[in-house]
Amino acid sequence: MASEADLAARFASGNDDDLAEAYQRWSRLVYTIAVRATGNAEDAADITQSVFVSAWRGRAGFDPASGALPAWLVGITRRRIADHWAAQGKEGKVEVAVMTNHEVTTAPSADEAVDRVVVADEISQLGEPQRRIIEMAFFEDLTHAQIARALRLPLGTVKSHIRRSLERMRSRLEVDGVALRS
Amino acid sequence: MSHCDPDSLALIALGEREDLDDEVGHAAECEQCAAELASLSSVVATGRTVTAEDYPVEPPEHVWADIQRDLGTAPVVDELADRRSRRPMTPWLAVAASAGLIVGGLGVAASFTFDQQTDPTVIAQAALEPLPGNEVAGVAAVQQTQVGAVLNVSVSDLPPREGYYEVWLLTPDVSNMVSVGVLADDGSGTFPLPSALNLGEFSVVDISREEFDGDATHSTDSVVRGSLPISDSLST
Repeated sequence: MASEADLAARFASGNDDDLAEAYQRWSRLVYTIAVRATGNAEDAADITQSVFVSAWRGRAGFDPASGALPAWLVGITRRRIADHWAAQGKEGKVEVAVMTNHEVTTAPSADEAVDRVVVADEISQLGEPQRRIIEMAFFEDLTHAQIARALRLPLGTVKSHIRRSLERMRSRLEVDGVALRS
Repeated sequence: MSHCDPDSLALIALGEREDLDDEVGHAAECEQCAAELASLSSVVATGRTVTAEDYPVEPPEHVWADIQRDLGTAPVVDELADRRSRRPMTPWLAVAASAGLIVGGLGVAASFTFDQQTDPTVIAQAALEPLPGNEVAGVAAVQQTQVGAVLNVSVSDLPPREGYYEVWLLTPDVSNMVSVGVLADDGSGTFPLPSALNLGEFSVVDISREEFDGDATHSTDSVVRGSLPISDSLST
Protein backbone atom coordinates (compact mmCIF):
# COMPACT_ATOMS: atom_id res chain seq x y z
CA MET A 1 0.00 0.00 0.00
CA ALA A 2 1.23 3.46 -0.86
CA SER A 3 2.39 5.80 1.87
CA GLU A 4 -0.07 8.38 3.13
CA ALA A 5 1.93 11.29 1.68
CA ASP A 6 2.17 9.54 -1.65
CA LEU A 7 -1.58 8.93 -1.78
CA ALA A 8 -2.24 12.54 -0.75
CA ALA A 9 -0.11 13.80 -3.64
CA ARG A 10 -1.81 11.50 -6.15
CA PHE A 11 -5.27 12.32 -4.79
CA ALA A 12 -4.66 15.99 -5.51
CA SER A 13 -3.69 15.21 -9.08
CA GLY A 14 -6.80 13.11 -9.57
CA ASN A 15 -7.16 9.47 -10.55
CA ASP A 16 -10.23 7.33 -9.84
CA ASP A 17 -8.09 4.68 -8.16
CA ASP A 18 -6.86 7.24 -5.66
CA LEU A 19 -10.41 8.13 -4.71
CA ALA A 20 -11.08 4.42 -4.15
CA GLU A 21 -8.00 4.12 -2.00
CA ALA A 22 -8.80 7.25 0.00
CA TYR A 23 -12.31 5.89 0.53
CA GLN A 24 -10.92 2.52 1.55
CA ARG A 25 -8.70 4.13 4.17
CA TRP A 26 -10.76 6.95 5.59
CA SER A 27 -14.44 6.28 5.00
CA ARG A 28 -14.66 4.53 8.38
CA LEU A 29 -13.23 7.56 10.14
CA VAL A 30 -15.56 9.98 8.31
CA TYR A 31 -18.64 7.79 8.72
CA THR A 32 -18.07 7.06 12.41
CA ILE A 33 -17.50 10.73 13.22
CA ALA A 34 -20.76 11.51 11.42
CA VAL A 35 -22.64 8.75 13.25
CA ARG A 36 -21.38 9.96 16.62
CA ALA A 37 -22.07 13.60 15.85
CA THR A 38 -25.56 13.15 14.41
CA GLY A 39 -26.66 10.03 16.26
CA ASN A 40 -28.24 8.79 13.07
CA ALA A 41 -26.77 6.14 10.75
CA GLU A 42 -28.72 7.26 7.68
CA ASP A 43 -27.71 10.89 8.05
CA ALA A 44 -24.14 9.73 8.61
CA ALA A 45 -24.22 7.72 5.36
CA ASP A 46 -25.47 10.82 3.50
CA ILE A 47 -22.77 12.95 5.09
CA THR A 48 -20.08 10.40 4.19
CA GLN A 49 -21.27 10.34 0.59
CA SER A 50 -21.29 14.13 0.45
CA VAL A 51 -17.81 14.42 2.03
CA PHE A 52 -16.15 12.16 -0.54
CA VAL A 53 -18.04 13.65 -3.46
CA SER A 54 -17.08 17.20 -2.47
CA ALA A 55 -13.53 16.15 -1.64
CA TRP A 56 -13.15 14.65 -5.09
CA ARG A 57 -14.75 17.55 -6.90
CA GLY A 58 -12.76 20.02 -4.84
CA ARG A 59 -9.49 18.13 -4.87
CA ALA A 60 -7.77 20.99 -6.71
CA GLY A 61 -8.19 22.98 -3.51
CA PHE A 62 -6.31 20.40 -1.48
CA ASP A 63 -2.65 21.22 -1.12
CA PRO A 64 -0.76 18.06 -0.11
CA ALA A 65 2.12 20.22 1.12
CA SER A 66 -0.08 22.07 3.59
CA GLY A 67 -1.53 19.16 5.49
CA ALA A 68 -2.64 15.56 5.68
CA LEU A 69 -5.45 14.18 3.55
CA PRO A 70 -7.39 12.69 6.51
CA ALA A 71 -7.25 16.05 8.29
CA TRP A 72 -8.67 17.70 5.19
CA LEU A 73 -11.42 15.07 4.96
CA VAL A 74 -12.20 15.51 8.66
CA GLY A 75 -12.45 19.27 8.08
CA ILE A 76 -15.02 18.72 5.32
CA THR A 77 -16.85 16.25 7.58
CA ARG A 78 -17.14 18.88 10.33
CA ARG A 79 -18.58 21.39 7.87
CA ARG A 80 -21.11 18.85 6.58
CA ILE A 81 -22.15 18.02 10.14
CA ALA A 82 -22.62 21.73 10.84
CA ASP A 83 -24.73 22.02 7.65
CA HIS A 84 -26.76 19.05 8.82
CA TRP A 85 -27.51 20.66 12.17
CA ALA A 86 -28.27 23.99 10.56
CA ALA A 87 -30.84 22.32 8.29
CA GLN A 88 -32.26 20.25 11.16
CA GLY A 89 -32.35 23.27 13.41
CA LYS A 90 -34.86 25.13 11.27
CA GLU A 91 -37.34 22.30 11.24
CA GLY A 92 -36.50 20.55 14.49
CA LYS A 93 -36.43 23.64 16.70
CA VAL A 94 -40.02 24.64 16.12
CA GLU A 95 -41.30 21.17 16.76
CA VAL A 96 -39.31 20.67 19.96
CA ALA A 97 -40.01 24.17 21.20
CA VAL A 98 -43.72 23.70 20.82
CA MET A 99 -43.64 20.34 22.54
CA THR A 100 -41.48 21.31 25.49
CA ASN A 101 -41.99 25.03 25.63
CA HIS A 102 -38.30 25.36 26.43
CA GLU A 103 -35.32 26.87 24.76
CA VAL A 104 -33.84 24.34 22.43
CA THR A 105 -30.32 23.36 23.36
CA THR A 106 -27.81 24.08 20.67
CA ALA A 107 -26.76 21.24 18.42
CA PRO A 108 -23.91 19.19 19.89
CA SER A 109 -20.60 20.24 18.43
CA ALA A 110 -18.94 17.82 16.07
CA ASP A 111 -15.58 18.62 17.60
CA GLU A 112 -15.83 16.27 20.56
CA ALA A 113 -17.03 13.46 18.33
CA VAL A 114 -14.08 14.04 16.01
CA ASP A 115 -11.57 13.84 18.84
CA ARG A 116 -13.15 10.76 20.39
CA VAL A 117 -13.27 8.87 17.11
CA VAL A 118 -9.73 9.90 16.19
CA VAL A 119 -8.48 8.61 19.56
CA ALA A 120 -10.54 5.41 19.26
CA ASP A 121 -9.10 4.89 15.78
CA GLU A 122 -5.59 5.30 17.12
CA ILE A 123 -6.28 2.91 20.03
CA SER A 124 -7.60 0.34 17.58
CA GLN A 125 -4.34 0.59 15.65
CA LEU A 126 -2.14 -0.01 18.69
CA GLY A 127 -0.56 -3.44 18.84
CA GLU A 128 -0.78 -5.70 21.84
CA PRO A 129 -0.10 -5.40 24.71
CA GLN A 130 -0.17 -1.61 24.14
CA ARG A 131 -3.88 -1.53 23.36
CA ARG A 132 -4.83 -3.61 26.38
CA ILE A 133 -2.60 -1.47 28.63
CA ILE A 134 -4.10 1.82 27.47
CA GLU A 135 -7.66 0.47 27.73
CA MET A 136 -6.98 -0.66 31.31
CA ALA A 137 -5.53 2.77 32.15
CA PHE A 138 -8.34 4.72 30.46
CA PHE A 139 -11.44 2.68 31.04
CA GLU A 140 -10.70 0.52 34.07
CA ASP A 141 -8.84 3.30 35.86
CA LEU A 142 -6.03 0.97 36.92
CA THR A 143 -2.60 2.25 37.92
CA HIS A 144 0.44 1.17 35.98
CA ALA A 145 1.43 -1.07 38.89
CA GLN A 146 -1.95 -2.82 38.82
CA ILE A 147 -1.73 -3.22 35.04
CA ALA A 148 1.80 -4.64 35.31
CA ARG A 149 0.62 -7.19 37.86
CA ALA A 150 -2.46 -8.15 35.84
CA LEU A 151 -0.54 -8.59 32.58
CA ARG A 152 2.64 -9.91 34.24
CA LEU A 153 4.76 -7.27 32.60
CA PRO A 154 7.68 -5.30 34.08
CA LEU A 155 6.71 -1.90 35.53
CA GLY A 156 9.12 -0.09 33.21
CA THR A 157 7.60 -1.74 30.15
CA VAL A 158 4.08 -0.71 31.13
CA LYS A 159 5.20 2.85 31.86
CA SER A 160 6.94 3.30 28.54
CA HIS A 161 4.06 1.72 26.60
CA ILE A 162 1.66 4.14 28.30
CA ARG A 163 3.84 7.14 27.45
CA ARG A 164 4.39 6.11 23.82
CA SER A 165 0.71 5.35 23.25
CA LEU A 166 -0.31 8.72 24.72
CA GLU A 167 2.24 10.43 22.47
CA ARG A 168 0.88 8.60 19.42
CA MET A 169 -2.66 9.70 20.24
CA ARG A 170 -1.45 13.24 20.80
CA SER A 171 0.32 13.36 17.42
CA ARG A 172 -2.78 12.04 15.74
CA LEU A 173 -5.02 14.58 17.52
CA GLU A 174 -2.67 17.38 16.53
CA VAL A 175 -3.14 16.47 12.88
CA ASP A 176 -6.70 15.13 12.55
CA GLY A 177 -8.34 16.31 15.75
CA VAL A 178 -9.78 19.61 16.88
CA ALA A 179 -8.80 20.52 20.46
CA LEU A 180 -5.07 19.89 20.07
CA ARG A 181 -4.85 20.98 16.46
CA SER A 182 -1.48 22.60 15.98
CA MET B 1 15.54 18.85 40.10
CA SER B 2 16.00 18.27 36.39
CA HIS B 3 12.95 18.08 34.11
CA CYS B 4 10.34 15.43 34.73
CA ASP B 5 10.90 11.95 33.42
CA PRO B 6 8.55 11.59 30.38
CA ASP B 7 7.16 8.25 31.60
CA SER B 8 6.31 9.83 34.96
CA LEU B 9 4.55 12.76 33.29
CA ALA B 10 2.39 10.26 31.39
CA LEU B 11 1.41 8.59 34.68
CA ILE B 12 0.64 11.96 36.30
CA ALA B 13 -1.56 12.81 33.29
CA LEU B 14 -3.46 9.59 34.02
CA GLY B 15 -3.96 10.73 37.61
CA GLU B 16 -1.33 8.66 39.38
CA ARG B 17 0.39 10.29 42.33
CA GLU B 18 2.09 7.49 44.28
CA ASP B 19 5.86 8.06 44.51
CA LEU B 20 5.51 10.99 42.13
CA ASP B 21 5.52 13.88 44.63
CA ASP B 22 8.81 15.36 43.39
CA GLU B 23 7.72 15.17 39.77
CA VAL B 24 4.33 16.73 40.50
CA GLY B 25 6.07 19.50 42.43
CA HIS B 26 8.47 20.19 39.59
CA ALA B 27 5.73 20.21 36.96
CA ALA B 28 3.88 22.83 39.01
CA GLU B 29 6.80 25.20 38.70
CA CYS B 30 8.42 24.37 35.39
CA GLU B 31 6.77 25.89 32.35
CA GLN B 32 8.09 23.28 29.95
CA CYS B 33 6.99 20.27 32.02
CA ALA B 34 3.67 21.92 32.84
CA ALA B 35 2.94 22.36 29.14
CA GLU B 36 3.85 18.75 28.38
CA LEU B 37 1.66 17.56 31.26
CA ALA B 38 -1.22 19.74 30.09
CA SER B 39 -1.16 18.32 26.57
CA LEU B 40 -0.90 14.71 27.79
CA SER B 41 -3.74 15.38 30.25
CA SER B 42 -5.86 16.64 27.40
CA VAL B 43 -5.23 13.37 25.50
CA VAL B 44 -6.24 11.42 28.61
CA ALA B 45 -9.35 13.54 29.08
CA THR B 46 -10.47 12.82 25.52
CA GLY B 47 -9.40 9.17 25.77
CA ARG B 48 -11.50 8.59 28.88
CA THR B 49 -14.62 9.81 27.10
CA VAL B 50 -14.19 7.23 24.31
CA THR B 51 -16.88 4.57 24.26
CA ALA B 52 -17.23 1.37 22.26
CA GLU B 53 -19.36 3.24 19.70
CA ASP B 54 -16.48 5.58 18.89
CA TYR B 55 -14.36 2.83 17.35
CA PRO B 56 -14.55 3.33 13.58
CA VAL B 57 -16.96 1.09 11.67
CA GLU B 58 -17.56 0.60 7.96
CA PRO B 59 -20.19 2.77 6.30
CA PRO B 60 -23.05 0.88 4.61
CA GLU B 61 -22.02 -0.65 1.28
CA HIS B 62 -24.35 1.51 -0.81
CA VAL B 63 -22.41 4.67 0.11
CA TRP B 64 -19.52 3.83 -2.22
CA ALA B 65 -21.91 3.08 -5.07
CA ASP B 66 -23.72 6.37 -4.40
CA ILE B 67 -20.44 8.29 -4.56
CA GLN B 68 -19.54 6.67 -7.87
CA ARG B 69 -22.99 7.44 -9.22
CA ASP B 70 -22.71 11.09 -8.18
CA LEU B 71 -19.27 11.41 -9.74
CA GLY B 72 -20.02 9.29 -12.78
CA THR B 73 -16.74 7.44 -12.31
CA ALA B 74 -15.94 4.25 -14.16
CA PRO B 75 -16.46 0.85 -12.55
CA VAL B 76 -12.68 0.40 -12.57
CA VAL B 77 -12.80 1.41 -8.93
CA ASP B 78 -15.32 -1.33 -8.26
CA GLU B 79 -12.85 -3.89 -9.44
CA LEU B 80 -10.28 -2.36 -7.15
CA ALA B 81 -12.64 -2.61 -4.23
CA ASP B 82 -13.38 -6.20 -5.18
CA ARG B 83 -9.71 -7.01 -5.25
CA ARG B 84 -9.27 -5.44 -1.84
CA SER B 85 -12.06 -7.41 -0.28
CA ARG B 86 -10.47 -10.55 -1.67
CA ARG B 87 -13.52 -12.63 -2.10
CA PRO B 88 -12.15 -15.89 -3.46
CA MET B 89 -14.54 -15.84 -6.39
CA THR B 90 -16.04 -12.71 -7.80
CA PRO B 91 -18.88 -12.57 -10.29
CA TRP B 92 -16.68 -11.37 -13.13
CA LEU B 93 -14.49 -14.45 -12.80
CA ALA B 94 -17.50 -16.66 -13.24
CA VAL B 95 -18.82 -14.45 -16.03
CA ALA B 96 -15.49 -14.57 -17.83
CA ALA B 97 -15.59 -18.35 -17.62
CA SER B 98 -19.14 -18.75 -18.84
CA ALA B 99 -18.95 -16.11 -21.57
CA GLY B 100 -16.40 -18.21 -23.38
CA LEU B 101 -13.58 -15.77 -22.85
CA ILE B 102 -11.49 -18.79 -22.08
CA VAL B 103 -10.92 -20.52 -25.33
CA GLY B 104 -8.79 -23.45 -26.22
CA GLY B 105 -6.59 -23.32 -29.24
CA LEU B 106 -3.11 -23.68 -30.53
CA GLY B 107 -0.30 -22.62 -28.26
CA VAL B 108 1.17 -19.28 -29.19
CA ALA B 109 4.41 -17.55 -28.40
CA ALA B 110 5.70 -20.01 -25.88
CA SER B 111 9.13 -21.46 -25.36
CA PHE B 112 7.86 -24.84 -24.43
CA THR B 113 9.47 -28.17 -25.03
CA PHE B 114 6.60 -30.49 -24.07
CA ASP B 115 4.44 -31.56 -26.97
CA GLN B 116 1.65 -34.06 -26.95
CA GLN B 117 2.41 -35.03 -30.56
CA THR B 118 5.98 -36.07 -29.91
CA ASP B 119 5.97 -36.90 -26.22
CA PRO B 120 3.67 -39.72 -25.10
CA THR B 121 4.12 -38.75 -21.44
CA VAL B 122 2.17 -35.52 -22.10
CA ILE B 123 -1.45 -36.41 -21.39
CA ALA B 124 -3.02 -33.01 -22.02
CA GLN B 125 -2.04 -29.54 -23.05
CA ALA B 126 -3.73 -26.19 -23.38
CA ALA B 127 -3.07 -22.77 -24.81
CA LEU B 128 -3.18 -20.05 -22.16
CA GLU B 129 -5.08 -17.13 -23.62
CA PRO B 130 -4.94 -13.56 -22.29
CA LEU B 131 -7.88 -12.34 -20.25
CA PRO B 132 -9.26 -8.90 -21.11
CA GLY B 133 -6.68 -6.22 -20.49
CA ASN B 134 -3.73 -8.56 -20.88
CA GLU B 135 -1.56 -9.28 -23.87
CA VAL B 136 0.61 -12.22 -22.90
CA ALA B 137 -0.06 -15.85 -23.75
CA GLY B 138 1.41 -19.20 -22.91
CA VAL B 139 0.97 -22.94 -22.80
CA ALA B 140 0.32 -25.54 -20.12
CA ALA B 141 0.79 -29.29 -20.29
CA VAL B 142 0.19 -32.14 -17.90
CA GLN B 143 2.93 -34.73 -18.06
CA GLN B 144 2.91 -38.17 -16.50
CA THR B 145 6.22 -38.84 -14.76
CA GLN B 146 7.51 -41.68 -12.61
CA VAL B 147 6.59 -39.76 -9.48
CA GLY B 148 3.12 -38.79 -10.71
CA ALA B 149 1.56 -36.06 -12.82
CA VAL B 150 3.20 -32.66 -13.12
CA LEU B 151 1.88 -29.45 -14.63
CA ASN B 152 4.32 -27.60 -16.89
CA VAL B 153 3.52 -23.96 -17.53
CA SER B 154 5.24 -21.40 -19.69
CA VAL B 155 4.12 -17.82 -20.33
CA SER B 156 6.13 -15.50 -22.59
CA ASP B 157 6.93 -11.88 -21.88
CA LEU B 158 5.25 -11.62 -18.49
CA PRO B 159 5.99 -8.09 -17.30
CA PRO B 160 8.19 -8.04 -14.19
CA ARG B 161 6.37 -6.68 -11.14
CA GLU B 162 6.68 -6.17 -7.40
CA GLY B 163 4.38 -9.06 -6.58
CA TYR B 164 4.38 -12.50 -8.17
CA TYR B 165 2.39 -14.74 -10.50
CA GLU B 166 0.52 -17.70 -9.07
CA VAL B 167 -0.69 -20.79 -10.93
CA TRP B 168 -4.14 -22.22 -10.17
CA LEU B 169 -6.34 -25.06 -11.35
CA LEU B 170 -10.00 -24.05 -11.42
CA THR B 171 -13.21 -25.89 -12.04
CA PRO B 172 -14.79 -24.65 -15.31
CA ASP B 173 -17.56 -22.86 -13.41
CA VAL B 174 -14.93 -21.27 -11.13
CA SER B 175 -16.72 -22.61 -8.09
CA ASN B 176 -13.57 -24.19 -6.72
CA MET B 177 -9.85 -23.78 -7.14
CA VAL B 178 -6.52 -25.06 -5.98
CA SER B 179 -3.19 -23.24 -5.98
CA VAL B 180 -0.40 -25.29 -7.52
CA GLY B 181 2.50 -22.89 -7.12
CA VAL B 182 4.34 -19.73 -8.08
CA LEU B 183 5.83 -19.01 -11.50
CA ALA B 184 9.56 -18.39 -11.83
CA ASP B 185 10.64 -14.94 -13.03
CA ASP B 186 11.03 -16.26 -16.58
CA GLY B 187 7.34 -17.18 -16.64
CA SER B 188 7.86 -20.93 -16.40
CA GLY B 189 7.29 -23.58 -13.78
CA THR B 190 6.85 -27.31 -13.21
CA PHE B 191 4.42 -28.22 -10.46
CA PRO B 192 3.77 -31.67 -9.01
CA LEU B 193 0.02 -32.42 -8.82
CA PRO B 194 -1.51 -34.33 -5.92
CA SER B 195 -2.51 -37.80 -7.12
CA ALA B 196 -5.93 -37.33 -5.55
CA LEU B 197 -6.60 -34.21 -7.63
CA ASN B 198 -9.27 -34.84 -10.26
CA LEU B 199 -8.03 -33.06 -13.38
CA GLY B 200 -11.33 -33.73 -15.08
CA GLU B 201 -12.85 -31.47 -12.46
CA PHE B 202 -10.05 -28.90 -12.04
CA SER B 203 -9.42 -28.56 -15.73
CA VAL B 204 -8.79 -24.84 -16.14
CA VAL B 205 -5.26 -23.48 -15.77
CA ASP B 206 -5.26 -19.91 -14.47
CA ILE B 207 -2.42 -17.52 -13.68
CA SER B 208 -3.03 -14.57 -11.39
CA ARG B 209 -1.17 -11.49 -10.27
CA GLU B 210 -0.60 -11.63 -6.53
CA GLU B 211 0.87 -9.28 -3.97
CA PHE B 212 3.01 -10.05 -0.94
CA ASP B 213 0.13 -9.12 1.31
CA GLY B 214 -0.26 -12.22 3.43
CA ASP B 215 -3.52 -13.09 1.71
CA ALA B 216 -3.39 -16.61 0.34
CA THR B 217 -6.62 -16.41 -1.64
CA HIS B 218 -6.91 -15.70 -5.36
CA SER B 219 -6.55 -11.99 -6.11
CA THR B 220 -9.23 -12.33 -8.85
CA ASP B 221 -6.76 -10.50 -11.10
CA SER B 222 -6.09 -13.19 -13.70
CA VAL B 223 -3.64 -12.80 -16.56
CA VAL B 224 -4.14 -15.87 -18.73
CA ARG B 225 -6.31 -18.97 -18.75
CA GLY B 226 -6.64 -22.19 -20.68
CA SER B 227 -8.73 -25.31 -20.47
CA LEU B 228 -7.10 -28.74 -20.31
CA PRO B 229 -9.05 -31.22 -22.45
CA ILE B 230 -9.06 -33.96 -19.85
CA SER B 231 -11.94 -36.34 -19.36
CA ASP B 232 -12.50 -37.97 -16.00
CA SER B 233 -11.16 -41.25 -17.34
CA LEU B 234 -7.85 -39.63 -18.25
CA SER B 235 -7.43 -38.03 -14.90
CA THR B 236 -4.39 -39.03 -12.91
